Amino acid sequence: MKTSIIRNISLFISTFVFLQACNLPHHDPATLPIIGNRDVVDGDTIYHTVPDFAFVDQDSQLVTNETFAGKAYVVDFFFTSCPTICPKVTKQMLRIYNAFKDEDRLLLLAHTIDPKRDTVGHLKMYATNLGVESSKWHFVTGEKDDLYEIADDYFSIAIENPDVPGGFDHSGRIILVDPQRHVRSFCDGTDPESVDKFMKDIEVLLNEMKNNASPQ
Amino acid sequence: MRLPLRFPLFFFALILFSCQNKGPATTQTSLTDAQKAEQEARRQEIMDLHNAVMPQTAVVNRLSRQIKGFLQAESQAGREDENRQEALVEVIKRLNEADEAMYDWMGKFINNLDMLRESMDHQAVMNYLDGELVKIRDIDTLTQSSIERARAAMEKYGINQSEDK
Repeated sequence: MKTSIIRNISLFISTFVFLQACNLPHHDPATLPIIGNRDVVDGDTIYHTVPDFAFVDQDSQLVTNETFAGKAYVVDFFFTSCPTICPKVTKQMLRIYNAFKDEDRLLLLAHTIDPKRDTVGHLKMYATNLGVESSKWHFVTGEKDDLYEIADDYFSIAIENPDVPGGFDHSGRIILVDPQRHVRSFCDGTDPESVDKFMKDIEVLLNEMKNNASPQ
Repeated sequence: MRLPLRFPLFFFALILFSCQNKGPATTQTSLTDAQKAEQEARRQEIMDLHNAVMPQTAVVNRLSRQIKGFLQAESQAGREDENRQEALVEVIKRLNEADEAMYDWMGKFINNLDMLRESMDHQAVMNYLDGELVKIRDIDTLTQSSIERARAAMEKYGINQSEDK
């Protein structure tokens, strides 16, 4: 009799725990969340998307949203004379480049925020010194206000602490954008462990793209 | 007949001149640990100040864009005011000067102590770093004053400030 009561209580607790677990909100590890502000218009959720842009890369080629059509891409902001943060971030970007060098569905996009000094020729030299392919990793320049404006747009959704004023150029953040122009992940580009997790997120996104299961 | 004699003399003089100018005044190995620590502490002081001021360049550019956007909107709406335009253009100019001063300084600053030590003795390295500390302090002052001036002007003319995106 006593054994039966204990068994029934155990069964009840197990069933309760199982049901509770089913009700818990969870993140499907096969997909990444879409990060940023969202609006509901006529019942449809409208996610933040990266705006149109047009810059010039180290080969003097025009780089626009079309350059990344059907691809995911990794974004950062830097300038070649940066004495502190940028060299650390570029080192991590190089890790990402090497890890996904043969992955056609992923590109890298680095924006200078010092277009006066980081000319096309200067960016070419910088990319050559890193030993990277222009078709894989675009180093772009343009109008200073346009570069800062798109940085504000990317980072408005990636800044965890709204009390930190501006400062994207020293944030060292690296951002992952999907083919639908949604930001899907970001990390601290000065922290190798944060970049390790970010690279796993890239794999999740690539897998999601493969399965054509992008949450819209 | 005189030319063949002159060329060897010229090359000999050139070699002598090169040898005399070769090598730093003081090599890295001649520095004491205390001198190296002093140099590193000053370099770090410069970098700490730079790291504190640098994020403000994003604020500088954002304020500049907001004022430009305001002037453009006012112009399109036919609400141009010559005095206001002149004052705001001057504010934008000051913001640009602060921004340019920082990037110009970074483009020229030698952050690598080993590189400095190759051609300078300890005192010369310290003099260089002291000079750079003065420059980055001036840039800090210029940046803060340009931001304050821009904020005051924006408040005066009712321009929306959204700095923390």
